[in-house]
Amino acid sequence: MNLEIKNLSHIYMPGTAFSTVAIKNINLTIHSGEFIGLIGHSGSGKSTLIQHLNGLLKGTEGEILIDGKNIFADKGMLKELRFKVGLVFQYPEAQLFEETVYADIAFGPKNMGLSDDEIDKRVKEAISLSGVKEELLDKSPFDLSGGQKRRVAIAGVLAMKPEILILDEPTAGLDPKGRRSILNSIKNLHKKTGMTVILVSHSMEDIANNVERIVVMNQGTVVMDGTVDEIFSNSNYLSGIGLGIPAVTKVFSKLSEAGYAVPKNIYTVESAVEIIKKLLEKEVNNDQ
Amino acid sequence: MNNIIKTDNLTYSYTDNEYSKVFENLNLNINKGEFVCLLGHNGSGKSTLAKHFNAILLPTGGVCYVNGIDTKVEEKLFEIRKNVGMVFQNPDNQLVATIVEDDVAFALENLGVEPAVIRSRVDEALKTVGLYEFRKAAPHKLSGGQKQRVAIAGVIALRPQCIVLDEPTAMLDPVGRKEVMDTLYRLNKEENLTIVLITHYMEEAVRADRVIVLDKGIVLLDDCPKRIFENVALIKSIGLDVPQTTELLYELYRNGIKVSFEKLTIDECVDEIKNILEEKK
Amino acid sequence: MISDITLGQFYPVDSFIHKLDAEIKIILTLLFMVAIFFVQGYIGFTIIFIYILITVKASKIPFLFLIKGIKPILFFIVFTVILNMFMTDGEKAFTFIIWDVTYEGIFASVFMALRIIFLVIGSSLLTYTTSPIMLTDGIEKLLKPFVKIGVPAYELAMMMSIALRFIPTLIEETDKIIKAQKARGSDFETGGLIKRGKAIIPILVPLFVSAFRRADELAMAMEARCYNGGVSRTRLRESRPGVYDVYAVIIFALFMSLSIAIGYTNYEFKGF
Repeated sequence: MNLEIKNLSHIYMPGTAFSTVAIKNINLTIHSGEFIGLIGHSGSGKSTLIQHLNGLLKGTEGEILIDGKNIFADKGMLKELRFKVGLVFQYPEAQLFEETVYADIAFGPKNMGLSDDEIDKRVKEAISLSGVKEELLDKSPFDLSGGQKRRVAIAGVLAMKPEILILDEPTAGLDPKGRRSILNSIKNLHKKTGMTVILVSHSMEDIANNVERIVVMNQGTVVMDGTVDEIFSNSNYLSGIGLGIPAVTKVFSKLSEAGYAVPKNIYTVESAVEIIKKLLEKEVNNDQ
Repeated sequence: MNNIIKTDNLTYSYTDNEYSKVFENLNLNINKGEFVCLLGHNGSGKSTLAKHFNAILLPTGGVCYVNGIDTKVEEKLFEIRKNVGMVFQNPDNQLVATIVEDDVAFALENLGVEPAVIRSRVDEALKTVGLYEFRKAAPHKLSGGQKQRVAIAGVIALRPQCIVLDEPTAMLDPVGRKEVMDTLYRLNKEENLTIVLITHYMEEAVRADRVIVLDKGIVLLDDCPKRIFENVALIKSIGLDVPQTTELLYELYRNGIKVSFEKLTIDECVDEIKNILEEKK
Repeated sequence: MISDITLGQFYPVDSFIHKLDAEIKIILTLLFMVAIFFVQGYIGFTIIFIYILITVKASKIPFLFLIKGIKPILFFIVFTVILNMFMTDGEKAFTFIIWDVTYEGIFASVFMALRIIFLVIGSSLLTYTTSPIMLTDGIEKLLKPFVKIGVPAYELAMMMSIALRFIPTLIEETDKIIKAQKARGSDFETGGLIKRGKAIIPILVPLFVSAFRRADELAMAMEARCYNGGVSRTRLRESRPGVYDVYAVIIFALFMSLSIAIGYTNYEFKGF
């Protein structure tokens, strides 16, 4: 399923004194199976943008096409769309309401009108993908720890088997271990299912190790769109617009400025180690 | 007396159950003027511990002293809270008033301070956190970082000796995080305020004077940041991280390259790498 | 954004009326509401009308704005007018189909309609010119003398101010929860009453859970900042009535006594 965003703009409360432009003139194409990182600081318009992708918001201008068809073309399609484009909000644990974890995860599939057998199958699949332990299914979601609640909420969206999964800051407020394990789950999920995943964040560190393509937003517009390597070669610009840059990237950017022949777009410790090792070997060889 | 907070065999349990003890016989000293970072994964007991520092929680065993006063002494409650202010994680759930300056005035109003004195203290506190021009704004219109600075202003208006902050940056974006951290370091350096910061972000601990790592209710490590982050394997094993700079140097070291991996800041790390590259030449 | 909605109807301009002490404004508004029921006769009503014109002019609020406030109660006004017109005994003026309409009835209904309209304009003037927080402060000061007989003035004011502070936050939260459930296929727009009623549960439960969590955290934050009830609290803004307030009280008193007094010397057409 390809998703195309054409000239999309959204103005909140147009024509009043409170009128604010949230996003303007966005053009993007999201291909089936892509793993995209959408980054921008708070207020850059990324949350507004993603709410357009499943029709929760309607642009004041422009359109969204799914496989070439406008999502607002007919009402039936819009409901379908909600299930095809799964949206996990920031702090999604705030949406839990059912008496048991099972019932909460089944809420989406139930709304789709699926049979009980199919729902059961989907709940089981969803928990294995999101890493919720089976023995938690009968518990109240309110008795779980913060990290578990978040996984249950993600499972609730996964159970709808969306073709595109959008996660808004899935690691916000978690400790390092929780952050790592949620990101790993998402990465595995993409690998296993081939689902299109859009990961929204203001931290480059979260995104760098996982995604294939990065879209950078600033002040309501898309300012960069490219591969991870391409985006990271502009690390100074990124930190200039309020984004968190991994410390290794900063280190390499400074080394490069100091005249060392190192690439600037380094974002993982592993690749950093490799490069330094190579540099050392080369110099040793030169000496001989 | 050199310490502002001292715990003596501190024990706390939410219920009478022997197994629900969050920590047991904890001994800790926080000296005046120190910038201390308290690290630990979720559920390590660090928030519970912090709440003892201004008598929101009282120990079920042992004693917690604030400025030499036992926190269990009820008559001294406000004196304790005047000395040790507290800032919490969610900026939305700790601001009380609909106008920024009213919120900063809240604690002073509670203590029955003269309106004229409140006025000058509020203005002073707002200037210190750099939000004086927002004094008439509504809190819900501010950014996360600004809200947390309002909360900090509300605490420093009391002119405390120490501020305890429970993950104040967890819900903020990088810009907000930097705003809050810069404010805290400035308060520590310029006003000589003792800061106890609970955080999940290792980079925030890098500039601290001292780092305390809590795990399962015990003090696992207690030292200056450089020494703490040397224990890369140990720290990772309890679900925490080390700053990426340390990790880089640590990995180099494990690959047989001779580096000291106690370099924490970006610049220190750059220098260290420059050194090893130069040495080989 | 959704949190930008204005609370109450405060109209933020700088005017003589805006500057007045909230406590004084509340008292004057209450007195005005009472006084209006003692006004009789068209001269009295003319004086009140002039008084309202002057106050509205001084408040710098567009007159149309105030008229808008009458719209929701238009039905009520029409109802009272009809009731008064046909139910008042007296000298017959004309017959409407089979009902007799009296002169007294016509006057009674016109005066009643005017009373209601003046009442609405008078009270909206208070809310248009006083910010919610000033209003809260005013009510607190007003209730202060009753603390001794057990009226929890400080607590009430604190409650109002916390409510004002959290309404935008909770509106935003509600919006987010609605969207999150919609994203899971919740349908709030179609279906019968029971189906729609059921659709609210996925919103109400998380909203309550979150409100309780917020309340819990806020209580702790307040406690940490030495909150101890209202007993010995002072306030940052300690407004005392100034010269303006004295003027306002004098002008108000003059107009009200004049309009009431004239009603009693003018026997021709009483309202009732």
